[in-house]
Amino acid sequence: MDRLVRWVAPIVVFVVALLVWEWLVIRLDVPVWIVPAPSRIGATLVRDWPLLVSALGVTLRIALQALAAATILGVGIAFVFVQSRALEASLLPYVILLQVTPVVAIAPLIIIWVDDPEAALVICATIVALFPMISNTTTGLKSVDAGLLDLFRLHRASRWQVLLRLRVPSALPYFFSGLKVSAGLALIGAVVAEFVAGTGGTASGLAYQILQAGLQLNFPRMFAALLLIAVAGVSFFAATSGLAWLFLRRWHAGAGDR
Amino acid sequence: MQHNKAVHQASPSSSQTRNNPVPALQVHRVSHTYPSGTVALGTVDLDVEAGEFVSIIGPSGCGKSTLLRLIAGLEAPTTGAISRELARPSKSPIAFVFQQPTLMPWTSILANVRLPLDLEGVAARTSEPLARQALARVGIEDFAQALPRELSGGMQMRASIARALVTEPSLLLMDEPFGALDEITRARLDRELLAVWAEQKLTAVFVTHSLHEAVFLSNRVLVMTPRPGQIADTLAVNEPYPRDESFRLSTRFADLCAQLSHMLIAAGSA
Ligand SMILES: Nc1ncnc2c1ncn2[C@@H]1O[C@H](COP(=O)(O)OP(=O)(O)O)[C@@H](O)[C@H]1O
Ligand SMILES: [Mg+2]
Repeated sequence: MDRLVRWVAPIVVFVVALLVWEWLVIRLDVPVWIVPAPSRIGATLVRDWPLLVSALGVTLRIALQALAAATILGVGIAFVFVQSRALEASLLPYVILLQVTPVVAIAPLIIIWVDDPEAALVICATIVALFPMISNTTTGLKSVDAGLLDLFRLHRASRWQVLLRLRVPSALPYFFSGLKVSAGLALIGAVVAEFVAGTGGTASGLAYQILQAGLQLNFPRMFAALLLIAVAGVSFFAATSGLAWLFLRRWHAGAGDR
Repeated sequence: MQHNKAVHQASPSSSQTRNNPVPALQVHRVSHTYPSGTVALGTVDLDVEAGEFVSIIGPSGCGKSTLLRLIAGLEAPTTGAISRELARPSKSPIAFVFQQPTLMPWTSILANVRLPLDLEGVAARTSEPLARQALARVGIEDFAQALPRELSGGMQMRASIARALVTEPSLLLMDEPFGALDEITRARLDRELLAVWAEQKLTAVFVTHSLHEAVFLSNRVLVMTPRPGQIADTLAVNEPYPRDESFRLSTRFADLCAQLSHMLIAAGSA
């Protein structure tokens, strides 16, 4: 019953919202340059499918590369942080600095500095997605049960054994909750960076399509591109949640709750 | 770690005679102050003979856990010295059972019990049968593949004891291991613990806040003063083993408990 509600209820809301939207647009005779009807957006989606799907591919590629980079970098930095307090103390302020600086402010610089436009966008998106990976994984690696740590010490476990057999498993739920957040941020970063890059960018992602459609007053296409970004975001969330569930269902009680 | 040294320092047991056994554990004028400045333990002198079962009782915060951690080598004493004459040439001569079961939630009971051997680098081929044996000894061999959260509190505690036994330690340290369990489960585990202790010829130091448990289990009960704890008094329980429920129901048991209770009051602990 609960499961059914969790899956069906949002779909019902979606369908009802679409119907109301469609009805309102027709009823109030809303011009297409303000809000196009869902049916128009649908038709555009079908007509412009090859264009939009290749744009979606570019945006996804950038977001996934950024997510991979943020995961590798974030986990690496977290490992360094838990090995040495001094290193953590000296590097943490800069990690925070990177986090609090809006990516739209740094993106133009990076786009100038990095020749390959796609690489520049990946770097921007990585910066956006990095912080949750670092902070969650660091917290996880530190959140070790004190009793278990004593047990490992009593049996003279090496630093390496403590890391692999105790810290890493303890950190997994934190890592995955970081991954869920970072996946969304990587996508946001990819889109925002492409907006900033504008026509100087790769000229092929979804953000670029939105910009172009805006200039051409092609509002249904704007909405269609927007829809694809939203669908991509939901898929990222679903995929990382699924991954977390797969890894944690045996490992930790209530894994999905965190 | 502290106890490495002590093990090496310990002389071979050639001088040991039957009448005058060398203590398995000597705590000599040990006190402990935590870095925060808390004086957790006053000056303690304590000898425990090989094969003895000693309980420590005292008000909470008096330093019982600290004393056990010092004995285990998990903390270094601020003053004094601890030496351990541990009979078995094991890599892990000391086992510790914590107040909580302290099991790794992400892996099976079997893997949890095997852990000390894994850490010593024992091959799975050898460690797995030993772990199963330890599980059988505490009566939960059927739960080898279960996850800790699938077990009741009492069974988790059994798993924790199995893990302590798996390395065949000579010294078993227990910090209020049954404190969180109900009375009935606790009494059963007390009996089973005594059986294992006798069978394995363990030396046991057991911290509890239950007078009845202390009297039931021990050769000797040490009464501690409030923080910073010192040993105020000792109750000898000259009741032969094996002990069973008839001992618990005897007037002698009631007398001993009353005596211990008076000692606690005199120590300012009750
Ligand atoms: N790691 C620690 N750092 C600072 N103070 C501690 C620490 N562990 C225990 N204490 C303090 O030392 C005293 C003795 O603690 P403990 O040995 O746990 O007592 P008991 O086990 O008898 O209840 C208490 O006042 C406690 O707050
Ligand atoms: Mg305690």
